[in-house]
Amino acid sequence: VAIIEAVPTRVLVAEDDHDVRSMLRLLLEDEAYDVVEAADGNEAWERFNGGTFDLVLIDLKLPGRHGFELCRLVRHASDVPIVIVTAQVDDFDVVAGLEAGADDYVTKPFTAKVLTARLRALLRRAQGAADPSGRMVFGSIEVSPREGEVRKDGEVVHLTRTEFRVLCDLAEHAGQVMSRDQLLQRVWGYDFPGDGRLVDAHIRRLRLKIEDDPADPRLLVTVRGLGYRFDRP
Amino acid sequence: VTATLRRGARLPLRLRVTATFALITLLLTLGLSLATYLAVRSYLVDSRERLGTRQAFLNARVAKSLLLGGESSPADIVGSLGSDSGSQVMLNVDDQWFASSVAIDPDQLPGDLLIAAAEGSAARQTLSVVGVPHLGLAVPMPAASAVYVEVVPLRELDRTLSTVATALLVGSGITVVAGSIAGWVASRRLLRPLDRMSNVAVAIAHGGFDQRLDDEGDADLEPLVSSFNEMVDALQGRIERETRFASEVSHELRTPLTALSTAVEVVRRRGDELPERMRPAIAVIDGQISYFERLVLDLLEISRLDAGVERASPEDVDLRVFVERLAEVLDTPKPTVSGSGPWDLQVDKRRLERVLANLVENADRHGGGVTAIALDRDHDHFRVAIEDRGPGIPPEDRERVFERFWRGVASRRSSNKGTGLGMTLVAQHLEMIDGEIRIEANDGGGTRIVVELPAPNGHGP
Repeated sequence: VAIIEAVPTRVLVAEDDHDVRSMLRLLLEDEAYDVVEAADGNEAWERFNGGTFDLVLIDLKLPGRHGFELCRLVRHASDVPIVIVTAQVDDFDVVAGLEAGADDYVTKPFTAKVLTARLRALLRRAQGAADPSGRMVFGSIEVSPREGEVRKDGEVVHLTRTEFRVLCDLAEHAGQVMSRDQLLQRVWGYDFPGDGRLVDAHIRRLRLKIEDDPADPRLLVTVRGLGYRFDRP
Repeated sequence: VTATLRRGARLPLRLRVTATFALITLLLTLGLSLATYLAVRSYLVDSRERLGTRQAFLNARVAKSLLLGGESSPADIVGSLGSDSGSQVMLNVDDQWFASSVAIDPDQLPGDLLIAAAEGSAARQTLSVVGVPHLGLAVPMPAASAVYVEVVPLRELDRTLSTVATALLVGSGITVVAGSIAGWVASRRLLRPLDRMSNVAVAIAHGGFDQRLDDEGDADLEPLVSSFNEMVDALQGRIERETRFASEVSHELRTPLTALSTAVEVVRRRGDELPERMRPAIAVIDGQISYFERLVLDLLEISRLDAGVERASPEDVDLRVFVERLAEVLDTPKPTVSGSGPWDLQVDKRRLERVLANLVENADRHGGGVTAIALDRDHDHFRVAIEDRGPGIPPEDRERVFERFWRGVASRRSSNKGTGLGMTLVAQHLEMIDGEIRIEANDGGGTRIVVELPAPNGHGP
């Protein structure tokens, strides 16, 4: 009999404020996470390269490397779920963070309950789709929920787990309109009403990856006032 | 210092410019017309008088020779002279009057005219006979001891003059209209820079701080344009500084609050490990930190709204689905829907959510919980009514609840106090989405708060 130890979830916390960082460590350790701290952008990038992580928490206003840049670097290097932590509530920060590749965001001050719920939802997503059904083929696009794989013209398309979940949800309901609120609830586990920009940013990213012409989407269609629809070609 | 552009109620600038142009042209053309009329009249009257005088002297000479010849009677003389000239000819021979017609009685002749003639000088005078101007001429004939009088009707002259006057008046009218049109056009041209300025000002008011005026090389406009642009520069700088400051304040407040609330959460979760005497203290810290957090967040939200940089971002919403879903999330009774749809409207969802969630929170905090949510509509409005158990808000306080930091008597004593900013935020968010709010009493002694939103035109029951 092999004794299996529970593998803790490793979180990289990039946060410049010492008190916030250490309190986050205590909070997340109580939730059984393994926490690695980084006090600035450069340190965070070094730590990220020095280990494997299941989650990355990035404060946007980081000294050294700015949060946006760190976010882009991490996203470029890996599909690890990224959560932005920001004290700025301006639209610009949230949108720019999502464009840089973040999966989700929380604004300071966050409640412990909200933060841990977000992280759990992200990890669930990262561990694969909820009900892996069969392979779906839409013209040149092939979605295999079981393998967690999407192919376009036979080539594997690199998607983050969140992007993958959004695509699967839409593909499983091909031809039906999914509202932003539905997607937020199903993919992000958000209460109502969530921030539709999360969905919009992910749809934009998905279009860049799977549409022939992202400016003239044929698969991921916007239905004005209602949401999005996956169209069979 | 307040610079007021309006002093009392004044006509609009364009109308004033037009009226000024019209008035100036009116005065000018009236003056000109009057002068023309007077000159024409004096010339015409003058030549008519000269003509009449020459005629009268000729006639008088004929009459004199005829009288002295003794072959014709005075009556025949006036008859023959009168029939040629169209004027009335009269002869006074030895104080006896002979006239070519009975149209004018010798008594109607002006006394001065006859006196002058009696004294031996020829005289001329205008007189009016039944409203028609006439020229009276008297030529004394001492040799025949007679006076020749001729009364020439001036009807033709009068008609000519009135034609001239009419032509001048019509001309003046046309000139005034033309002057007004010129004034209107000129004022339009003059106001064009103001129109442009107003467009730019509107664009700036809507957040387009990069907009500036261009003087287009016009030296007259340059001072106005440059001071306007300076003002916008100053405004832009100030707003940018304030926004930066607000964002820094926000950051500076949010970061320690995050550390505090996370720290207290860590302690709270291990409440069992705390010594008995420490637990109430931690509970107080926990409660106060979460109150402080709400207060800071509300204040930051209010200052963002006050700064006026926030804009509503409307999207299509099915109000019925929205309210039902929100009721589910906020754990209130299921909304009752009266009236038929459609319930579609364009609204900033997040603001509407803030409004309704705040009202539900208030009902929970001060009104014993939400007892009912009702949704209905008429042609122009959607209404969401939220009712609570009580104790209700007295009528005199229903306006005051929107004041900052106003709290009801019950709430001031409560340990679970709100920030006193919720209703202010509700009102401000509602203003941004064109909504209205009414506070009423309900039958159960509680409060009914009605939020009214404009329904899109073109459909409805």
